[in-house]
Amino acid sequence: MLTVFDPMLFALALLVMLKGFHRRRAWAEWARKGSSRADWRALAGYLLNHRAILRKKDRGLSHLALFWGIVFMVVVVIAAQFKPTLPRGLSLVLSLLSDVLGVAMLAGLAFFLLRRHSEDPQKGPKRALFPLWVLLVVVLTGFLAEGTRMSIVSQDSVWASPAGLIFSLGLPESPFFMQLMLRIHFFGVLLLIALLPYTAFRHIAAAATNVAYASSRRKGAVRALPLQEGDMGAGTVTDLTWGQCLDAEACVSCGRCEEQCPAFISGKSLSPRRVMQGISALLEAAGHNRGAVQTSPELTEAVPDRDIWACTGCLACAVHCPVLVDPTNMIIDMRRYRTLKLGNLPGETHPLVRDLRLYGDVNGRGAAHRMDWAFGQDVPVLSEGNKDRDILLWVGCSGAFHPQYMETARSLVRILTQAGASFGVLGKKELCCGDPVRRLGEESLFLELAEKNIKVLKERRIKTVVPLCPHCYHTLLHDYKEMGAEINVVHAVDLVLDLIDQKAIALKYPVEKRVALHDPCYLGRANGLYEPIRRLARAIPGVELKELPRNREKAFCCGGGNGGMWLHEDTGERLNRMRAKEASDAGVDLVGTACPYCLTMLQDGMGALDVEAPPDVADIIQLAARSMSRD
Amino acid sequence: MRIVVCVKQINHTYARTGMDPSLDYIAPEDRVVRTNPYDEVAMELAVRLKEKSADSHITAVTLGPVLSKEELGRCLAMGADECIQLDCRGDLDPWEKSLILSRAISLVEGELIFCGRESLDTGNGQVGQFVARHLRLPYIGPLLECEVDPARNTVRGLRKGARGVRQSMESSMPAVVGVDMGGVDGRLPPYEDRIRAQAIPIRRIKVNSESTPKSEKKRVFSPRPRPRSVPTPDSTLPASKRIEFLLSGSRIEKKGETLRGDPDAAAEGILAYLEKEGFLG
Repeated sequence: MLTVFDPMLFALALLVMLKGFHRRRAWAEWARKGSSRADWRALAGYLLNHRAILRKKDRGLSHLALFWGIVFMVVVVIAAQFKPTLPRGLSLVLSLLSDVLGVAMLAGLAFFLLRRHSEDPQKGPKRALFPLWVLLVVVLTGFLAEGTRMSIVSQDSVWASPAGLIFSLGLPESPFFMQLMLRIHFFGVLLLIALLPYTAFRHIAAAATNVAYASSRRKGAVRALPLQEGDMGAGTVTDLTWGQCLDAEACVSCGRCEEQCPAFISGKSLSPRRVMQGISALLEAAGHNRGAVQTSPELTEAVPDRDIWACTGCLACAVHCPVLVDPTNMIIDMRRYRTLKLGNLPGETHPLVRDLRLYGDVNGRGAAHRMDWAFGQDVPVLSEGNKDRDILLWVGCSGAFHPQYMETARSLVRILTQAGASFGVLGKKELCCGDPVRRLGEESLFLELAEKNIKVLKERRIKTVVPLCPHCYHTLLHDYKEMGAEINVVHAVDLVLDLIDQKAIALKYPVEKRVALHDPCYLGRANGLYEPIRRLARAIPGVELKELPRNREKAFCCGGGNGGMWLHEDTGERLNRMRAKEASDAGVDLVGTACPYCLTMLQDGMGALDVEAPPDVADIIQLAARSMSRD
Repeated sequence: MRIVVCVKQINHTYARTGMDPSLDYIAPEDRVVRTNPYDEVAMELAVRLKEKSADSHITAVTLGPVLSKEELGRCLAMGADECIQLDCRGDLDPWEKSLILSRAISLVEGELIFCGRESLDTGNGQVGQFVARHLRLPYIGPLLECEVDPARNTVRGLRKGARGVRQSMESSMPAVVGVDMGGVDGRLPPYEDRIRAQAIPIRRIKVNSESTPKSEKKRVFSPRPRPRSVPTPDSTLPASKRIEFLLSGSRIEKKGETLRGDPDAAAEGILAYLEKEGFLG
């Protein structure tokens, strides 16, 4: 039974816990700036349906058992302190429930212990094991105490404590043994509470807070960088925002990001889990002394260059993280530091930066050639003060210069012309949207390009922009809007679907092909547009749609994002070949996509396969246009 | 060490999409203002030398009006300490340009002068050598990379020979060094350096180009490859022989002779040649 010392011990444990949290930087910052942005209702929904965690069945169910077990026990124990008088039936049900949950917790603990023990020590920190063992002791001593009690005091309703009954069979009728078990149980709980901020159980607080904060954060968001204020991205942990610190705190090193990360799968050194764990360790080292930083360890050492340049920004890690951590935006902040502050942008991307600066397009062909793709076509160029045209076709660098993507741009023009849509292009005034350089960390050049583009959009009073490329789409939709562009952005595939729905165009000539779809990361994972490309493919008569093994949010990246088109991929297997192989093994005639990067990367990948007739790669819009007319 | 880098700003015309014959069919967007890429590499070589010896000072010298302060600034941001603008108008020929440049270079007492091997627009590739002539300095180049030996006070580097051969060259200092592309890449300076470079004062020196002697054009030889013509190879020959035969045709027959051996013997050879051809009376 409780002694007078016990509340004091309990208070001490709480004090140690609070002190631990207080010393962690993320919390101090969060409490100061971020707590107002927390969405607790989202957290409640997240915990109740457990969907994100249950995406992996085995671990998810184990977590579910531990979560509800702990919640139930804590509620019952707290309630018991008020000595409520419960009807006998209810108390028996509660007793049964606690036994069942206790057994489930044992099973869950056994799973996690086995998993963490058998794991490669590289993967997860072994200290995650300590609180698991303590929890195991707590649950076991709970059962042992219950069993001893049942062997001392025989009860009539034994069905309410089945596990206790089993334990009671081999236990002595010793009140001392029961007391001993209860003490160990109690001290175990105190230990867990006190050590909460210092062990992997930190995630109980950190992950919950992160979910409350990050559930409203959009995927693939890159924070605006106030260059004038001397902010150059993240060089030390002190440069990280509190949201990023919280992300690192919340990481439990479960490794689901690794299982989906294309860079990791293909044998590169990058592992989002290791990045987060590295930052977390630095935060721990830096966070002493009431949240003020005494030392500021360099991120460049914890996260080496080869790791951050291997990221393709595909967001697989962010989408699959059970606690909504987004390593990609931290990687971009680290890239920014290395590019803007250290001037260490990899040499192979220098021509891209130079071309964008001088010519305003990624190919370095120049504004003078921007309309070459539309030679001989009736494509109106919008001029200043435009009033009559409401749709702006954002051709993009690929649509204007990439040989096959020029064909896609012309296909879209044919569709729009046939539908009688009033559209136009910016012509020579269009510049690159700036996405590749922004994601390579060259923020100053991105701002330059974006500001010029936004000015041109404003001058032409553009309301609706229809980009072909998902990267342009993402940048215009989010980044340009944040910078003050008042535009409505619709991806070309969505527009074509609208035109089909309105019966403005008819796809009547069959395209007899078995088609697999490759989800572009910045349509799918970043903006949740998984269905439009599938709907469009189904709308084309004759197309037999086949899903690739990895599709929708599990789609494997082509390797072109985050500046990957321009970066050398010199370690591990090449992503585009891996994806091309997957598509080729699926036995299809054609791989449809909706992104110029994916198109280029997959085409190159197909070319490198040792297959006699690899599938063609085409943009789904091109396919739709083909089905619109007989030729 | 005082290093001087000659930086040319060019109005690079990369397309002709205009409609107006009076403007040579050049539309405004057919042009970009940039610094000569060879000069950017020259700046890179200079900055690498500066990084090795702390007491170095880099002066960038540019001729003519500042076309774009921003573009010039990007080149300066790589590591220049000051910039001199020799402001003059009108068309200048390489001889005049080199004369004006050499005056500025002697003004700042440059010990090592870097020039790009040629410019992207006119592509004469003469100014570097002419500057060396005006300053009475040796010229080596076009080098792909270079290093300075402070003990011997020499500059040394590699240049492209024909057919993938690299030739090592060395000269005493001070010297004029021509720079070629293909060895090193120009760096992308950090943001702070770019901001700082915008504040590098540009020392403007007004030059009256009227007084400089112009070179006189006597006869124009248009350079052209002179491939040896070969008849269609005999079809009965094996493929390797036929390919060899065809390849022998495209080789440009050089009339000149390369003198080998030590400098004394080479000098003897040059003298003998000049006497034979009647240049020395």
